Formats: sequence, structure tokens, C-alpha cells
Amino acid sequence: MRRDDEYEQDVYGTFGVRAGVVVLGLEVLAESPRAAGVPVVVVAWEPPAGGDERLARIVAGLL
Amino acid sequence: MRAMIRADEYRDAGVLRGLTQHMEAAAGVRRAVAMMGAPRNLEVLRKMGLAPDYWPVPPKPCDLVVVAQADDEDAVVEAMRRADAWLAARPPAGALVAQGTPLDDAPRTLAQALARQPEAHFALVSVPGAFAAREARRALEQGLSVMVTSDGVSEDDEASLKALADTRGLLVLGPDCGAAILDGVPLGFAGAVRRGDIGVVAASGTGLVELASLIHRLGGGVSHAVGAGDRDLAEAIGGRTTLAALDRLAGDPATKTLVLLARGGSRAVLLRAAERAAAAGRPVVAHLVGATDGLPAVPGVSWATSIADAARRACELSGVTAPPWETAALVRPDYAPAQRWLRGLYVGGTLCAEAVARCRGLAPLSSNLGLDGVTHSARFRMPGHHLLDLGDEGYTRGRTHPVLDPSLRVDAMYNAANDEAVAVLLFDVVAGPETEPVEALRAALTAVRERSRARGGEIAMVAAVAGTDDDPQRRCAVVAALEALGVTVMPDHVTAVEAALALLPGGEEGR
Amino acid sequence: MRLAERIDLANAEAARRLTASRARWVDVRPLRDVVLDLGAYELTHGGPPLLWREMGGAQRGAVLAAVLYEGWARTPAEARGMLDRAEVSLRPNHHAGGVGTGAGVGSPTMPVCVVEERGVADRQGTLSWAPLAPAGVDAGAHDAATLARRRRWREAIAPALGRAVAARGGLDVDAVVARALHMGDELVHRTGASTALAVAALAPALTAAGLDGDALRELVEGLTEGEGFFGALALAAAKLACDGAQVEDSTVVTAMSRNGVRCGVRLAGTGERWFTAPAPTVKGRLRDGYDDADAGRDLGDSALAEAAGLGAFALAGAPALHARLGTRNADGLRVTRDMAEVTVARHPRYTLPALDFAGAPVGIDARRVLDTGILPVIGATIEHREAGHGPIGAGLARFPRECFTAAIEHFADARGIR
Repeated sequence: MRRDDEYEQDVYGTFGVRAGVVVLGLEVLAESPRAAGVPVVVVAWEPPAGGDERLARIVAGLL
Repeated sequence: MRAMIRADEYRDAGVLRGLTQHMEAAAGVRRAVAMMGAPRNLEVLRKMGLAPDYWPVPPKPCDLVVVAQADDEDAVVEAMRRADAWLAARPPAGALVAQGTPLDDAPRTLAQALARQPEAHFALVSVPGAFAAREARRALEQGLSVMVTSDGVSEDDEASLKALADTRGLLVLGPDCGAAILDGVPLGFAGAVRRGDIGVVAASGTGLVELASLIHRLGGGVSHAVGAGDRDLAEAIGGRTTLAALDRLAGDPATKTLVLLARGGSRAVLLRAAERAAAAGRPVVAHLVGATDGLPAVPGVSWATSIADAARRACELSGVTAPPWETAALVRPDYAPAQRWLRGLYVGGTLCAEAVARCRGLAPLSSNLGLDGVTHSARFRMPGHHLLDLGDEGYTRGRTHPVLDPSLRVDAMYNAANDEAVAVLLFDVVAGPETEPVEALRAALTAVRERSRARGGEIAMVAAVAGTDDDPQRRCAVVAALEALGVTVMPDHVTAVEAALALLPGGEEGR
Repeated sequence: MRLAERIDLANAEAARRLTASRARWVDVRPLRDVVLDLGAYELTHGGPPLLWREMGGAQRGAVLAAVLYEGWARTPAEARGMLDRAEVSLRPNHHAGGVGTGAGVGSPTMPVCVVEERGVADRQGTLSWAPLAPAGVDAGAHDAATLARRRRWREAIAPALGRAVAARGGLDVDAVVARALHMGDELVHRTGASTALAVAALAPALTAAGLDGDALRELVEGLTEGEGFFGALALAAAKLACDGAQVEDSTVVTAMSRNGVRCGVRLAGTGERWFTAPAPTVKGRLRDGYDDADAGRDLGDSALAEAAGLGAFALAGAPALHARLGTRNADGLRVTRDMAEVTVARHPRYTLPALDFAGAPVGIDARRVLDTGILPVIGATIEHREAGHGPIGAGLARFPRECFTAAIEHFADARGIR
């Protein structure tokens, strides 16, 4: 009896990349997978707390 | 020189690079830099001599700082005008009204992205290091495996992420993993490589690309190449990604040979990984970068002596035997008496580590890689044999990785060009999808040749080019262009290091 | 329980209280009848606390006009003198239990609509208010004709309106809001449907209010001209809802307000403290003859509507507003979609047909604002830099990150997190 993730690997490949990729950060990273026919969605990412690392840690601790 | 602060306008590193290129294209502009106003970036700006003596309003991390240095006032004003126009044509994510330009409808959070594409199973995280762990964690919590190209992630965060990934049956590639090939899809700066039955688990980026492209050039093919991250084999991390990746490859019927390329870490963890690889029932080639012997025998595992050797062994196990590379005889230049040293300028840490390991017989020897018995220095110039990994965290603050942005290496090459004590310049080139290797280095390499000749000697330039002829920048074209500039290009990296050593004044005997 | 979980629970409770609030319009009274501790020479104003000497543009003009309207001075110069000598005190509307649009200036004899809580159990009977002025009157104008019209409204018209409302037994503001959202209103800048519904509901009572033909006509015109009348009621209802959402440990935003100099935010778990930042200038669509250089800094209490899930948060349901704001339908859908990322709940009764009747996003979580970088969007009226022009345009704006930063820093610091 195969496990669910084994069936998934059949459809989506061993690492699941062909099912689709989310890019967070440099938009240029979307190009290679797109060229290989993989659906890619790019997140318009901005740092939390306006880039203030200390505050971002505080916010993360509150969430 | 002029600086402009654009309040509350976040732009990613790729956009900033495009902006500075656009500004530098203007006549009379010598230098343009654009960074977010985080303290460490301002420090970089100050070290570059491009920070004003005094900020009327100090920039905040969410502000965009743009600096231009030009020949005269008109040019600098023009540079700033170009910057304004360029940015205005590309409204940032939070822009509400863009005066006629269609607003970008991109999702702003992972949750929104997954609402658009619920089938996505993989995330590529390349945000600044301070925030990378959090984004990676979110992706894992949503059931996505992650490749983290960002550096600057702490060991604790890495351990915690990989532990979480393990409980979910997911993988974390990296951090600081710039290249991978999964399910036949190149990611990061990995280029096109023939699909085949060799599965690779490597520490990180350039080592993975060198190995994969060598396999291709030898006639073999890669099923998957996983970048586990430089620290994965450390005791604190326990090789979680390496082991998980090996398990996945073991479950892939298309993978018939395994290559494990390790760098540093704990010997115990490395052996555990080698044993796990062997347990997959496939022939295994393993290599610890820098180690030519002294590794314990593991049944089913063949230890290679270099990355190139690992590629050859893997191909043979895959049923592909290629003849040895042909190389022309080396010609040692007529050095000036002052020329003594080897200078290595690398964009890839793995390749730099391989070089340092081969150079251990040299003295004095220094590098910015923290290696036992090697003097540590991150300066461009040292009185002695000196090899630098320009992709190291210490250099990448506030700038794009040198694999994508050659400006740091260009600066380092000019430094070498002006250094009368340098005899041999050794460097790696990655011919990948986003890289523009030769054009960017052309002026600097020409300067290296001409300035050393003007001093009555010559700097010998040696390089290895990772990549294949299937890449958009075909490897053969890159090699030809480098050779036209007087660079001796060797067929693989370890051969390039050996060539560099052989070319040193006094050759083999001179060490 | 971890702090994060406590906050989540507190936020859920704050959102529950926000959405449980149901306002009923019960009366129209002079402000001093509702704010019992209002001083004899005290005015209220929109936004967080502000001194007279800091006020500029439209707000300065409205305060001056109010002093004249109340008859405390006979000329603008006299009025200025009184204010300069601090003989008139100023208090934010928010601190007096009410809200006002634009400069939002309230004065003792000024008629205000009075709304009463009928939803949240432990707040039954609590009141809030918003000034009710006749349509088309510029709050900053102090010419004789305008003052005369305002006084007539105060003496003859507004009391009749109050009698009519009381005689009818009041008007369910909450129900009108819910229906108007299905008719293309967002209850701040598009209030035509809600105004029409309210006037229709009141019509029988209005005709029985004992006004002669001219006065009745003046009343109806004052209510319907410009279609903006219901905005005051919706805002007063939002004030009731937000004031009732005080919950310890909650990071839900219970006020967003601007005074032309600063904008401020309050959280459900930090009481009455304001977290402020410089008020931005809003970019949007301006009337002919005006350009960006004419715009004053953002002003008014109307952003409270967004805190209650209306205004820009319901923009997906008010496509006709885009012509006024200079935006497009896709922008409205995106704004509502983005606001869902930073809010705790979707309103059970305020639903948006354009989104298949999804509830309006409500209960802004300051943690999520900072974490996602998605700043709350508000619809804003753009006032002129100088008094006397009236509003010169409208646009969408984002509330400054600095307010939320200050709020969360304080919240964390109070719990020993630095």
C-alpha cells in the first residue's frame, strides 16, 4: 500500500517542483523554472517591519 | 556626488542592480549604488566612500538610498533623473495609484500566492538573510519544500528549519544554496544539464554546478542535484537535508548512481551520510572537498580525489567512459623578479576550498575561508599566496552575490592588476543562465595582462569554466572569449589549480 | 498560554465585539447636551490631540468659523485673538465620545446626530455622536450668509429632524449600512444609497414633524443635497463599534485618525494612547483648477470607517467611486483582498456582492500590518492647504507604517519584550 506522498511524487516528480513554485525574493529566480514549463508565482515581497530587524523579531514573537 | 533618499520604498536586489546599471549607462557617471537604508548597508556605503558626511534625515531600513558619483554636476543630476524615471516606471508592490500604468497584481504574501496556485509544492526563498528563516518556516508550515539561496541564516535557525522539515517529510535546500536541479528543472544559477541517472547531493552552488556540468560534458546525465547547504553536515545540523535527499533519490527509480559532494562539517555526519547513500542499493561516489585520502572505507562507496574525479567515477558507474581531457602544454611567462604569488579570486566557496586544499604546500598561504592552518584574511591583497571566496557572507552584505553581479570581482581583479607581486591569477567562471561572465570581466582581465606587461613581466591567468554548451551562454563560447584575452582555460577546476601551481615562478620546485 | 495565543484570543474577542455592535440613530441634539463635560468655551476637532498653534489650513479655518458661529467673537481677528490667548480650549472628537469628517470641528450649540448602542450587551445605551451640518456648507466659511444658514439649521431645522427621529423610535443605522453596501455605497465617500434609504425611512416622520413647507423643503434639501448626509451616521456607528472593542492584550486597531499635522492609531489593548506619525499628503484625483501643490495634509476622523470594515475596505463593492478617486475596479478588488491579509475577521452582516457576499474585512491586526508590510488603505478627501476652498479632491492613501511601529513597540515593551 503506497503512501500519499509516494503517489504525489509520481505526479509532481521526486521533489514536487513541477507542481508549481513560489518565488519569494529575487524575481529573476522565476526565469529558469518558467522556461522549464513549471508554473511559477512570484510574491511581491517586502521585509517585515519596514526592514527593521529588531522590530521584525518582536513582531514575529507576538504572532 | 549626490545621494537621494526615497522614503518607504522597498526594492529587491535584482531591481536595484537594474537601476544602477541604468544610471551608470549615463554619460559621465562613474559609479552608482542603490541600497535599502539598513544599518549594515549604510556601513557598506561608508566603506565604499559613497556615504555623505552627514545625512540631514538618516535613512531608515525601509527607505531606498540612491547614490551617484559623476564627473560633474550636470552628469550627477542626470543620473538622479534617470533613477527617478526608471523607478517611476516600475511602481513598487504597495503603490496604490500608478497614473495610467497598469498596477502590478502580484500576491504580497505566501498565503495569497498559494490562493493563486494551490498546487505549488516548492518555494524559492531569496530574501535578505535576516528574514529568510521566517519565510522558509512559513513555506514549510504550508507544506512546501524550500530552497533558500539567502546567506546570513544562523546555524540555530537552520537546525530548527531542517528539524521542522523532517517532521513534515519536506526538504530545506541551503541556506546559501544558489543552484540546484530538481525534477529536471534548473533552479538558481544552475544551467541546462543532460537528464540522466546520476543523482547528486552537494554542499552548495558552484560545487554542484561544476559537478553537474562535468557529468554532462563527460557524456553522462543528472537525475537531480540537491544543494544541501555548506553547514548541513555540521554536528548541529546532523546532515538532515543530505539524508532526506538521499532517501528521496533512493526512492526514485530513475536514479541509478549517487554522488555525495561534501564540504567541511563533521566527519561522523559525513560517514553517516555515506552509509545512508550506500544503503540505497546504488553505487555511490563520495568526495569531501579538499580530502584526497585518509577517509575510512565504506562498503559500496568509492571516495573520489577531486570534484572532477567524482564526476568521472560517477559517469563510469553510469556506464559512460570518456577519454581524458586534452590540454595544451602550459607556457610559463617571463616573470618580473618581483612576481611571486598566486592570487585566487573565486565566486564559489566550494571551488575556492578545493583550491586552498591543493595549495597547502604553499607558504605563506591565506584565505578568507576559515580553514585550519591557513591564515585568515578577507583583504583583496596579501603578501603571500592568497585565495578569496568573494561570495562569502562578509562580502555579500548589501550587494548581490558575485555569481550574478561581477562588480566585486572586477574590483578585486583590478587590485591584482596593480599588484607587482602577483604572478598567477586563478579564478572560476560559471556560465549560467543569469551570468554574463566574460563581458563583465573583459576590461579587468585586459588590465591584468597589460599592466603586468608594462611592469616588465606578466601575470599568468588561469581559469576553469563550469557550464555546458547547452547553456544560453555556451561554455565553448565563454572559453574562447577567455582564451582570446590571454586566459589559460583548463577543462575542470582541479586541473586549473594544478596548472596555476605549475605556472608559479620556480614551478613545482619553487614551493 | 503563549503570549501570541493570548493575543490571538484577545483579537478574536475584539473583532467579535466590533462586529456585534449595532447602532441606532436616536436623536439630534446640540453637542453640549451629549458631551456633558464640554466647557463653555470648548471646541472639539478631528484627529489626535493638536494645539491651536499647530493647526493649519482647513482645520484652522473651521475652528475660527466655529468661534464665530458660537458668537464668542464678532470678527475673525477677535476669534484669532481668543484662540491665541487660549481662551478657547480644544479636545479631539475621539476624547469626547464622537467623531467628525473633514476638519470635524464641533462646538457646544452645533447639532450632532446621536447614535446609541443596541448590539453589544454590556454597552447597551452607550452613545456616540457626529456633527450634522447642512449639505454644501464649507465648515471653514465664516461669511455672513454661511453663518446665517448654519444658525438657521441649528435653530429651526436640526431640532425638527431630532423630533422626527425620536418620534419614529429612531433609525437602525446598522441595517441601513448593510443594505447600502449591496447598493454600491462604501459609507464614506459614496453614501448616496444609504442617504436615500435613511431619508425614505424618515419621510413619514419628517412630514409629521410640524415644519411648514419651506422649512420642510430646507430640511430635506439639507439631508439629500450632495448625498453625503449618512456618512456622519455611519462614522458615529463606527465609533460605537470601535470604542466597544477594548480588550486587554488585543492588537486590533480601534482608531485611525488625522488632524492635518499628525495621524494616529489606537489599539484595543492599549486604551486611549495614540501612536502618531506625520500626516501624509494624499495623492488622488483633484478638481479642475487644483494641483498637488494645493493639497493639505490628511485630515479627519473618517478613517475610523476602515477600522470598522467600511470605506476603502469595502471598496470592492463601490466601483462607481473609482471615477472620483482616480482608481479602477481592479484596484478596489485588490485593496479589499489585501486588507483581508491584515484583518482578523470578515463582517457577518456587512457583505460585498462583488466578492460573492464575502464579509468586509474587519479588525486590523497591527502585528499583521507590520509582518506583511501591507499598510491599511483609507479613502481620503483631499482638503486645500488653506482654509476657504472646501475639499479639492479625493484619493486612496496608506496609513503610515510609523503609527503601527510605535503601537507594537509600546505593546511589546509593556510586556517586557524589547
